[in-house]
Amino acid sequence: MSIISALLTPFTDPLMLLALSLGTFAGVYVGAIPGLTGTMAVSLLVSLTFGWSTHVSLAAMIGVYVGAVFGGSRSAILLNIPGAPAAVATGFDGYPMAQKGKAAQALGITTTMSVVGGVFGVLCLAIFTPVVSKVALNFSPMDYFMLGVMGLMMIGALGGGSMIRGLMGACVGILLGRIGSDNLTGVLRFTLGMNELKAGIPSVVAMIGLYGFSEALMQLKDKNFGVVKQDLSRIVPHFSEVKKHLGLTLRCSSIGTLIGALPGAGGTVAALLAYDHAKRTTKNPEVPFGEGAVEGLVAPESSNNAAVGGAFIPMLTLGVPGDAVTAIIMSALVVHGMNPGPLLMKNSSDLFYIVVSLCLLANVLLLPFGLTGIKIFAKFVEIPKGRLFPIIVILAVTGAYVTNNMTFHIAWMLIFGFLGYLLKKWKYSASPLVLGIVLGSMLETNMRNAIISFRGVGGAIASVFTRPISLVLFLVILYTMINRTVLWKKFMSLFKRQKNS
Amino acid sequence: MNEKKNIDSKSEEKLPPGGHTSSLLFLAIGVIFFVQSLQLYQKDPSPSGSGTFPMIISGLLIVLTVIDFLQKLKKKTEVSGLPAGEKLSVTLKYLFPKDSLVFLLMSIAFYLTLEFGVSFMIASPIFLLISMCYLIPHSFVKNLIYTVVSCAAIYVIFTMLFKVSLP
Repeated sequence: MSIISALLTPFTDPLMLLALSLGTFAGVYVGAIPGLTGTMAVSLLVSLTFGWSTHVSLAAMIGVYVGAVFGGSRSAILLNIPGAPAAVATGFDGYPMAQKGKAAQALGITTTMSVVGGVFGVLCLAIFTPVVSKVALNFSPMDYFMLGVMGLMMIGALGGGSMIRGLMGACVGILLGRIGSDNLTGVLRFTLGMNELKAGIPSVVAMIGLYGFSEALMQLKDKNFGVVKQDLSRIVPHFSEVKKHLGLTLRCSSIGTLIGALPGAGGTVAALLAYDHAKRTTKNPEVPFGEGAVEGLVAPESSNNAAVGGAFIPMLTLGVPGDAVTAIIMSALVVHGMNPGPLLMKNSSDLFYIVVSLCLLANVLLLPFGLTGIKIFAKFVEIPKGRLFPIIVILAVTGAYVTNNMTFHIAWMLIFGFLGYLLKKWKYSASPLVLGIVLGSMLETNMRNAIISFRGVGGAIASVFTRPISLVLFLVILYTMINRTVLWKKFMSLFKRQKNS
Repeated sequence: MNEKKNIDSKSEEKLPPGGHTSSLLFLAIGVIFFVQSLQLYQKDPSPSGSGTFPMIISGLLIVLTVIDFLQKLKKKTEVSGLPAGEKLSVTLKYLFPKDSLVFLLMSIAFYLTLEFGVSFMIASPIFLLISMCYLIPHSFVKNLIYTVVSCAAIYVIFTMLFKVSLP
């Protein structure tokens, strides 16, 4: 099969087209419901698609995957509950926009930039697969550790003005994320003898509590709620707005594709790094970050959708899944008799181009599926808060329960909600805590692996200066740290003044 | 105008009621995790052991909390200068306004009913209706409609469509 005919396969097979369309549509709504994730939906789909042809089942799974990654942004914007971990950063500015009556605008720009990011990721998948997979393969545990540290640099942007308070939140998040069985040795840690804590606390449960439940408690100061009337006159963003943010979108999409291609990193880290990048590089946002900046939506959404294309790169070329969903898709492909890995491009290159075509088409389908129904979604925020908050609690309870079918997790959701509420009352930001939970495992596992593989702490530190990737990452971290210091800012202003005079 | 700005900026520097005690929460978390990770470290005292990383992080948390507390000591809270009893009362009212507290207690009660085996499809409509009627009184019929529609939607989406079991 030639490349062109492989690329056109989804267009010529009505069943594939139907499966992809239905999958994408379902994915958008699955992603939007707290507790239902793309991983869960794709894993449910695998058992359904055993009897289907490989191409049709692949179309359905890719559709759900792409749709769910995008769909996570909806609940983040409307309810401040990220539908998926990758949508955490979307809520930072999306929810404040909805609170100002701009939910439709936020959803519109999110859809458009998600599509741009997604298409960018797929094009990278098609063009740079061999190169990116080689780079990704050369990442050592120390590099992943530094990638985690880069993610933590976000704290400067999220700590509510104080780096110390941000770091305190991140430390608490990292520690709470350590509860349960140790990944490397299986030793039980901080479980206080409770069986329910052996599996740890899922990050989704913490996020639902810290963002959703705590927000409901915060806004219940008095019962005289005002209904936030949503401006529905502008859903599709103006071309000028898209053009204005195109540079940022493409930069964040590149970040997303690269991070997505790193096994285990995924869309969450990609979105957080992109948000941090946007905050550092956007000099004069129309609205400050954290208060409804459009750039704060564009960056994470383009990045996490681009990460989808990136996640397929190591799966198809190395047989190493980029994230949980690609791991499920890979196992489904194995069931269908395909073997993703280095020989795939040689033995069945048509499958690679069909995946590229399906991903591209799914992203294009996001546009009609994402832009329609926005009015109904936006109206959700107009429900009187006295009715909306109890519904949020029910959704939060359901979401916390279905992650592992344990009522115990509902208790954790409530505890995190109360903790988030107290933090907000004391003017701390809850976001560094979430960041700590999300990145804690990556930091610890890779730090310990680096110590083991480089034979001690000294060897691990020395490896930073002897390996090019490590050195580049280290210099990026160093620069990010220095350029946030008061001394650096003083130096730069002095330098500018001297230059001007 | 300038005077007003000065007053505003001065009031911004003040900590919210109970601001000084917030460090206690962080300190307690730090100490509990530090003691437990120290015990783990003593069992496997290697840099790649299961206690090392949490011990470093909890140690860091304790140090940061102390720094944060010392920084906060220089600042006044919004209740500084009030008699102890009044201070406590204002702080509690600030941290737990009546509606937030009632809603939190209702949510805990809802969780407990689920924990004690009451079906989600029985407990959730009751919780929804009671909490909606508390937050928006004098609108029983509308509250009932919202309750029925939301419970039906959740049941259809989770149980029928995605075959996910509810508590």
